[in-house]
Amino acid sequence: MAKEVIINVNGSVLKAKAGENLLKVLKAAGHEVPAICYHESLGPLQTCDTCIVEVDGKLVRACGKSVEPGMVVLTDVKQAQEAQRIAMNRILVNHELYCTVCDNNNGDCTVHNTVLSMEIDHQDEPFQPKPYEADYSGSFYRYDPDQCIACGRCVEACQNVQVNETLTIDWSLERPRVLWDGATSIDQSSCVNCGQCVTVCPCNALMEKSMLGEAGYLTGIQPSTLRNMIDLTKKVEKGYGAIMAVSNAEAMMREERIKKTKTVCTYCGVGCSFDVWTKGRKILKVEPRLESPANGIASCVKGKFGWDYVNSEERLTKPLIRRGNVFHEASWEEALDVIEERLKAIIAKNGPDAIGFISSSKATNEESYLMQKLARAVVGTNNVDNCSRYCQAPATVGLFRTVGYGGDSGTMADLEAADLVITIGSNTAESHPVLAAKIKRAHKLRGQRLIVADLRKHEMAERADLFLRPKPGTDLVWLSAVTKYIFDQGWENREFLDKWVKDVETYKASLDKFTLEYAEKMTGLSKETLIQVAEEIHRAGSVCICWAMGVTQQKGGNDTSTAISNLLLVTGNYMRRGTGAYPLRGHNNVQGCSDFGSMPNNFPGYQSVSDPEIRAKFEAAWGKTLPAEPGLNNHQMVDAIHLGRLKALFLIGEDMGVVDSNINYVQAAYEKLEFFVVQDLFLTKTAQYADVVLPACPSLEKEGTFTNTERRIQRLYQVLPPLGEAKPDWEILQLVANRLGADWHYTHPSEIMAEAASLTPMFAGVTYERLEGYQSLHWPVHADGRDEPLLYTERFNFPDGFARLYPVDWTEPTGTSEVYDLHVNNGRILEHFHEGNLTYKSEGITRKTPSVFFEVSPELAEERGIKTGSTVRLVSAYGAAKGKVVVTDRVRGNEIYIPMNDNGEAAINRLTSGEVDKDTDTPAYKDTAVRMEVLSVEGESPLPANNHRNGKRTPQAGVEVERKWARPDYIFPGELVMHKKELMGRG
Amino acid sequence: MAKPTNVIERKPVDLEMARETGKNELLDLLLERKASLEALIELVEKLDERGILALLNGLVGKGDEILGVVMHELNKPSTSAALSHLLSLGTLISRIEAEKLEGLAERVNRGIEKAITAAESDHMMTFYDLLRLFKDPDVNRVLSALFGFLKGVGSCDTKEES
Repeated sequence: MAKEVIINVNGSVLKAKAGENLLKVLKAAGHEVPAICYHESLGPLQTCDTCIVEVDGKLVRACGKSVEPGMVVLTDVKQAQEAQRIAMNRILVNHELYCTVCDNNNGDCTVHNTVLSMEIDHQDEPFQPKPYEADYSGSFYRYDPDQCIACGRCVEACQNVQVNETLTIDWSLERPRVLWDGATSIDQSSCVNCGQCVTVCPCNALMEKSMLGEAGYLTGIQPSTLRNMIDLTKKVEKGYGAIMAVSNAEAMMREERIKKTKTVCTYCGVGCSFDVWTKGRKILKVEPRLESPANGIASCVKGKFGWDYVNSEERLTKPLIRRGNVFHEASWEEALDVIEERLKAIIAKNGPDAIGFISSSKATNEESYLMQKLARAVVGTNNVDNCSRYCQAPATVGLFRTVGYGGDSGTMADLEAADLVITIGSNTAESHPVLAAKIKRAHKLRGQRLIVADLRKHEMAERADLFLRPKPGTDLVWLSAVTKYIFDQGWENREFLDKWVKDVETYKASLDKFTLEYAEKMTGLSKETLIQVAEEIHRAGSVCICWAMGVTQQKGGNDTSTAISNLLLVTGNYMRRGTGAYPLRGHNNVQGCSDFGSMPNNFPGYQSVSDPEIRAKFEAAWGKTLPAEPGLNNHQMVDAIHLGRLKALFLIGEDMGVVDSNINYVQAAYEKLEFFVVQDLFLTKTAQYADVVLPACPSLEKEGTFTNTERRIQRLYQVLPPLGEAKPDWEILQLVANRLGADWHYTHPSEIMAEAASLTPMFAGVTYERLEGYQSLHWPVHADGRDEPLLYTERFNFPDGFARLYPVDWTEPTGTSEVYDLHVNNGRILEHFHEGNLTYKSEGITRKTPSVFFEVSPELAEERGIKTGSTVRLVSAYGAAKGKVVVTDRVRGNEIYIPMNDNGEAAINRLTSGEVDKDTDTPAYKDTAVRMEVLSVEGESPLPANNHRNGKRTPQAGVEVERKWARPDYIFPGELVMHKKELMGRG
Repeated sequence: MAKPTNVIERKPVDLEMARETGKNELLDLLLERKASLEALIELVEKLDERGILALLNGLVGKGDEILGVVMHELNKPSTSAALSHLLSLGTLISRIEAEKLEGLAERVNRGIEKAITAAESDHMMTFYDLLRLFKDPDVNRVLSALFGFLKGVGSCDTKEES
């Protein structure tokens, strides 16, 4: 903890922490100091010079000064103000004030507000246009150099927050400007369109294209007329007073028609929250906010720009009923009639267990709760599951075995604070971009160590201090060997093990076979590398391990997850800040969907259906006798359909017929169903098999809560009214339940949450009031509202409070064979989501990434005589997929990578098998073998030239303000003022 | 036992029904706002009688072009200078503190009254009369005020130059 010291500000005493940023301290204490380049999320940049104050008799930038005991600060002396005005004048030479007709005039423009607060009425030097064209080339935002004040906020965000390292400022130019990849256009650069530069821009130099001509009342005017208006205003206006007054009034008028609503992103488990600005149904922009608890100002291309699907013309707006091979639009009453009649008939004839329910990890917690309640209390079956079965169930099992809670043991703040982060089977920078950025930032700025284990040399691997490339499916082996080596060296945390962990000796004995020699043979990693990993862990004061589908989507995924947790326990990396296990949840509500009970064996809060006491509690609350036997999971449901035991399926928001493995088998099952209901936004491939399709609402059209990968529960508010006759899933579930005999009267999701919280100790203190606005809670939430960002600070979640070391063995992957000689890895890419139903609706994304592609290594390409643009067919034992090749060293040898974002000929799950994790039935997507047929050699690259992967990053330390200071034409305003004072004194 | 299909037969929109629903919704809206609407109709009537409605229609209909022309005209040096003067005048007026002027105005009125009385009398003023007048507190106050004003104007100029 920094020492508290006393400083003197304008004659008054102020307490502050030694070393704290002076500007931050002054602002917090309510002293008005202008500051344009300073942004709380970015820290001091020292480029704009507007925050000059007098410290101990010298004029300095407040943002460049740290608090020292006894320092005397004057903010309101004439010299300081004079220097501030000089700085502001320099800014206004670079920025034309035409606020009233500017789309950024929304009350939050830093330049505008500073001019106003400094009461600047005229400028000494006129605005001078720069000799550069505005750049409109990108999909989502434009850069106008004429408005750019070169403050460097965007550069800092790009270099050190997103750490994509695309933006720089060329300080050697006569008129410095921002550059993309050193010299190219926005569109041709390595920019990933995370949008953070636009979010932090203090003026209108960087603007979302969707705002242009839309935000203001007068901004849609034709350019030539607009130019005349600006010129006229400048000619007739002697000072800025009137411009400021009129533009302020106009900004206020905008508030009347622009709605700003908080929501939570649905594109991954990070749980970014932001305001959505809408004008009618038009989405003007997405604005992450400082107080967004998971992301701050950060966002990725999908969250910031990927919402076109909400207003897509392909949205379903009426219920559909199948007659023969044609869907007929129907009223809700007609659709519910059919559902009631058919489901009741099946229950009467085959019993409730002939029906299966599948929830969606994209729907809300409240919807998951209602879905399982519908299955259990209304229909009377435990056949309810959710699509986290496809990804994260093994991780949850691994944690249940060892530490007791099935969730990340800390938050992203712990990932930032760790000395060492290890990622295993996770393409973090593309799958969880905002979370990855925090690791990249800690690694770049703070020297955090990073070890990446993956088949592919993706971005995180390129940045890693140590990159392990084990053979597919062998992670458990190297993890166990490293753990054994740590024991052998006596590097285990003995004190921690003695105090907190059971079954240590049994576990230690189970590691016997995992010698370095064995591991080297099985994993292909050298002994030296394994020792290096052990040494890194041993040296680090705190270690976090993140893992994802590369671990879980294997035949032994749950055991590898267990081995990760074992390693953390052995080295004492739990219970403290900067430590722990982080299974990175893929979809926005993978965590919450299971938490709230859409599981065949658990009520909400992982309370077992087989436990008579717990069942009695739910029976009393719901007034129904509930089934005691665990039901079928997703995978078993598909099998049961083939066996004729499951007759009907009720599915929410999941294109399961594309995203489940071995889709030929799944789709064949659909054809055998007697009755199939799908709730979705679109007529997806899966919905095309349904008997009734009910039009659902996306997240932007409803209220509820999501739980992110940090176990953080957050509220989303309704941004737009439902389109057409679409309804939120919770309303649909209530309509269906009431047709089947329930008597539900929920009028708002908060009532559903209140009921869930009353029945679930884990959520005892969760209320909508405590989640108001940007507030959030990490479960478990105690009745008094206390939550647990970091788990296990006092005990592990077992009745006796001890963690367990859980012996596991390696399940060898099926791997390749003579016939199927190529290994297929598959997963996400940054810009598309899942099967692509949502993100291909974004023109801006699609023009840069129009389709998936098959990544092939240079070695394999040479061997097969193919190149980028060639078309190949991959054939597995289960099906075939056709697509175009990109040759890249991201993959090696006979390993191919296929992004999962296609629902047509290139869909990965045409190839995947029916093999599953042995304990959770999660498909072993990553254990796929194929052979390749070359269809044509010549062809165009499936990745257009303007794809960010073709760009060339320009990493640098930040905005590099020293280069500005070193310019011959730069004089520090403070120096100028002091010099003048000196001259006056002499005169 | 269903094969996949993406054929959707759209429900024919029942035009009569949709019309009827729309009509009813509209009527409800109108009835809820009866008083405001009556006032609005009255206003519209008056605007129409004076031809303002037609004028506005024309303006709005040709909005972009008209704005373009207007801006082009206004931007010509002579017009923009006039506008600039106008705005300067406006600024000048806005800066005069009206409350302070109130007292002055009253005095000016009284002064005018005295002036009229003086003008109407046949009294001839001598040089000594004039000197004596300087000592008259009423006159002295006015002169002080006048000099004060002149001083104020003058000092503004030097300040701006410094």
